[in-house]
Amino acid sequence: MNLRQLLREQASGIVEDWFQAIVATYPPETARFLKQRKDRFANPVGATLSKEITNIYRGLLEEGVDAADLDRFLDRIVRIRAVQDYSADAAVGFIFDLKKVVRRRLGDKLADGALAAELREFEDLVDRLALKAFAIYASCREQLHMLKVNEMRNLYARVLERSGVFVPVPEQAEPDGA
Amino acid sequence: MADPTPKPEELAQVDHKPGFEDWMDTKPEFRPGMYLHAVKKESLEGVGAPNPRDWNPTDHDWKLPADWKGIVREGIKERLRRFRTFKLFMDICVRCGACADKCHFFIGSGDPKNMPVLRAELLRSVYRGEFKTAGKILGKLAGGRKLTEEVIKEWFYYYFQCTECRRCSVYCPYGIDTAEITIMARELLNLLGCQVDWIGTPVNNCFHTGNHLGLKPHTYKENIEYLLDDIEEYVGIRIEPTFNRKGAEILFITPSGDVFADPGIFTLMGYLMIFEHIGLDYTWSTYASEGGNFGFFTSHEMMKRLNAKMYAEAKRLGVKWILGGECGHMWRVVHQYMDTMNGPADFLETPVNPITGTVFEHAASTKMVHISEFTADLIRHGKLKLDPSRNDHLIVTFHDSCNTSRGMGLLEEPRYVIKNVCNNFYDMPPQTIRENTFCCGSGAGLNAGENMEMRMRGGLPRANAVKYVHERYGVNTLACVCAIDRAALPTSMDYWLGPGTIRVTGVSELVANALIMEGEKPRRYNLRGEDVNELREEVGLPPIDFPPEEDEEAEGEAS
Repeated sequence: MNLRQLLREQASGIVEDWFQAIVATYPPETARFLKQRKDRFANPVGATLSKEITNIYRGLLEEGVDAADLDRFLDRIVRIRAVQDYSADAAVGFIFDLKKVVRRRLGDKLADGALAAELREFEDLVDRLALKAFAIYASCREQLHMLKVNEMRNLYARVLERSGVFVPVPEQAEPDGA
Repeated sequence: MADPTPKPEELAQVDHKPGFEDWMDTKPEFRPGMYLHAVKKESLEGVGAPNPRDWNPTDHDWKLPADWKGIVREGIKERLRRFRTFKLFMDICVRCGACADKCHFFIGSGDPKNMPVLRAELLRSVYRGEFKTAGKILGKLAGGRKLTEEVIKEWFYYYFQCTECRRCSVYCPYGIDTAEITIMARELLNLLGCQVDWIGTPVNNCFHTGNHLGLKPHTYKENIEYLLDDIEEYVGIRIEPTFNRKGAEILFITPSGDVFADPGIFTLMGYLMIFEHIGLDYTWSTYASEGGNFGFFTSHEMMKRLNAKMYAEAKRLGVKWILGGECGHMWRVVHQYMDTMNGPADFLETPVNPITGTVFEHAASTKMVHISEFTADLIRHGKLKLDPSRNDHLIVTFHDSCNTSRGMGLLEEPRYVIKNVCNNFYDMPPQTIRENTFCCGSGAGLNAGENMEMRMRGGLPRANAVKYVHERYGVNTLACVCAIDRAALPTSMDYWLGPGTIRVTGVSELVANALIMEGEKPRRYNLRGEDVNELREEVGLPPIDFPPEEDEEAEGEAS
């Protein structure tokens, strides 16, 4: 059996372990709450984590899964962690937990080294996923700052505009040869 | 010197699991994005509030007054005497946890101290440690702790992370209102001058100029005149409302955010058009120019001082009753405090709708009616000429403001109005609306810019429910009846659902866009000045065949 088949076969166990590992990055009282995943409206964080890591895991295993889809799944989790009490490394570090989880789950089957090349390939995928997660994290943080700026602008722009404080910038012609 | 570069085996030890200290030993960290700026010294001085000074929450020394401990102890004692609810709420919680996962800040942040039960415990533990025998002797064992500067900092951090939305209280089997505990804690902080600027400065402005923004009478009037110009441009009619007119039948008061903040201004244009449409005898006031009351987030006394202007102005102008605009906490203050604070307003009359004759019995005491109640009554009696198809490009859901839903039971009226002016309406799931509604995440004075991260955490549960109806029904419009919602939700929607995905609108804006005004020109533009056909195209609707604009202009010149 190759690694991909193994990962597929053990998918539900691996995803569940991964979920537990992510939830453990929250304080214990919160972790207990996050594990109740039935109501996506009462517990949006737990439900989103659970659903999207399942999607991400599937995305990693299935060839031809749209990269944009994978980005979307990741975004839903990282967007939440980008505003929670995490440093940048902790916010996206959960991706690397998947490596640990897989090694732990498949420990005995990986022992003889026959699947080493495939495993390295899989772990490279996880690394690339982490980079994507970091890019999303950075864009979320940037968006937060832009939202601050936009609010400030909306608050005062209209008043200033109408009070004649702004001088309209005349339209500029394209420089020659542009 | 040892090489500081971590070894591979050290790096492998990186662990993101949190510590397991007791909650009393975990201290908040004042990170940018997670706290509000301290109030300006002048703002406290302006209203004679205690301990004005320059300070910053990230400073080690908060420059508390010399006898700060005595002040807080006395403050607690006095409030235990004055407020029976406070005394009860300090004593009766059995920590069943029913409230724990109901707070939007807990759900969004995952910080256990945002569980309402634990947030209340921040104050309760001091009550036990300082006032109860068991707590005094046994300390932590009996859930008690002493008052320290660290405790004050923790209060400041967490009690300005509660929007007093009261969702948790809906689920408490004992009926404990955690918002009241926050209210008390904020009062105690205010005794030490530990206020946030987003509340303290509007309070000072309101006290001196009549509104939170500090708009002076001529500016207030001018801003409304700009909006009248816009109405003339897009609707083709000139409205001429009156200001400070003695002898008007009704005084209209709305939050000042509606006068100049986007998208509140469009709601205000809606009020103007509705009143013009029915020929209402009413007046604006440049003195009672604020419906909101940030005194409510400061102390009972400050709330009373700021609220007094409403009745004072109604008396001065000699109106019969007061009509109020779309606002959240303004209505909690009006509905639950005004009558006993500054009433009875026996110089006013029980409100009667002059157009329909409906007597608003429920407002017999406060003499103040909500615009959604008023509009719903007009629609019910067929007094508004409406064309809901003008809003066909909007697929609408409704966000119940915490204060109007849980604070005054206004659940049906806004929905009734929306359904009469829009053809596409979908409610969010039941556990997220009406009395179970999730806060916008920025109420009770938290709608500042510097705490954006905190606001986004708080806004997550609401945004999550909007996302559901957006994905399921294509909802593109979030209607609400609160000025803070109108200010806060666009940002939250942009972050959680993507920029430009959801339009946030006041209900009165929807009404006015559907209103067939006498003498209007073809309504090719909505109140935001957007081309209706472009909006229709975005949702796949065929264009409306408006006459060419040049013809209208030529017609106008000829006449």
